Amino acid sequence: MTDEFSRLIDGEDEVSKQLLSSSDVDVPSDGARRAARVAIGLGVAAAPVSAAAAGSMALGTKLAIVAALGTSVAVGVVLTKSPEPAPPPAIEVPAVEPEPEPAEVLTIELPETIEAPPAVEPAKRPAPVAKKRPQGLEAEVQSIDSARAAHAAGRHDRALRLLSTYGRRFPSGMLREEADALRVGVLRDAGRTAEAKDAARAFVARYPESSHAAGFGTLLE
Amino acid sequence: MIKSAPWDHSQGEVRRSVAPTGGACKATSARLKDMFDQHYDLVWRSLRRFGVRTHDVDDAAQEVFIVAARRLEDIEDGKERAFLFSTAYRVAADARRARARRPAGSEDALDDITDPHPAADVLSDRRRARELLDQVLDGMSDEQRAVFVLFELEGMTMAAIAEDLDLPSGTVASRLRRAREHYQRQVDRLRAALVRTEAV
Repeated sequence: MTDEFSRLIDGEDEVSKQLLSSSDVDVPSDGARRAARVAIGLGVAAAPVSAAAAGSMALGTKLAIVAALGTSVAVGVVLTKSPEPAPPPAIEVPAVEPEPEPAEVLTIELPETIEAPPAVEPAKRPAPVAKKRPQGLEAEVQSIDSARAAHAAGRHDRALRLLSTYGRRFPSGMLREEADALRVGVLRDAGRTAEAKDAARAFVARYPESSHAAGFGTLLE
Repeated sequence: MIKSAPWDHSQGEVRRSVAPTGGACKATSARLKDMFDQHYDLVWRSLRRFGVRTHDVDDAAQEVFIVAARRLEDIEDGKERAFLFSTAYRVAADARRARARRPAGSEDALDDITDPHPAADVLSDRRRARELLDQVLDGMSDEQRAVFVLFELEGMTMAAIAEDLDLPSGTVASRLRRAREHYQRQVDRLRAALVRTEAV
């Protein structure tokens, strides 16, 4: 994976983050689950509340993307401009995010073909400041904390995605054990029991002395 | 609710009851229940991300499990998820082809109308971003899309994808690489559009 692509998937790229995070809404309804059970002759069971559906779905973002982007064409983009800058990301995701300030919405039609952006006068548009990417253990901690926050918010898909990214960025990372343990917990809480059991067994095989295994409970039975 | 999916060309046969009968079927029923409980959400998500539109996903997921129920004896132990994935992949491909044959604009306006999340502003942003993701993914081939979705959105390893889709690991890697190239081009294109818009 190229470093550029890594940045896209890591969530440091706002556009990519918006796109990938939007898939977190892909959750079946309890009604659909019950109907499918009936359709295959399993009868009706008490449907569990979907953790993902119950989790915080607040986007907390200042950028809204609206585009009919065909195979090669973007038709429109809507930007939501807020009067205040976005707050820094918190390690612990609150259960309820504060309502954003009223936003001014600008709707701008784009031509059918997107071309390279026009040259911008430096006086009007300052050069973007390169965001320094954390390195080493700091970056590892940040990655794990992001995954943990997503897990705590019930955003299991995002947590798994961040853990996968962590594994690719830090194949010999110092926090690999924590990442692997967290993955077991995310899979379990996402209801992916079979995968959680496989991951738990693999974890114990890899880290036989780890204290994390005590938290896996029935997954190891 | 069981209703006809647009791509279902064998409703009468497929939609019949698939409940196992008789004492010998208890184990079969338990196995089907395990498959359903463990994989229904995964199948539903995968169908959605493989390109089935929101208002068709419930039926498509039913379709996958109806096929699984009818062919349970053919499914090798330990290969349940792989069977469900391959079935979901075919159902999604059928849905995409059926959609391509229908007049443009005949359905997409109905997408996501049942989204349960109440915050209107957030919903609007997220829904629009999700629509955009659909369009980015629609630009991939079915094969690339499946690998990209399972790896990047579902968090599966390439080895697990190779096993579940019954593909050589090299094929998974090459499809993922091409899918990422497409994704990166689309994100670059979108970013350029945003820069242009900000500069106006």
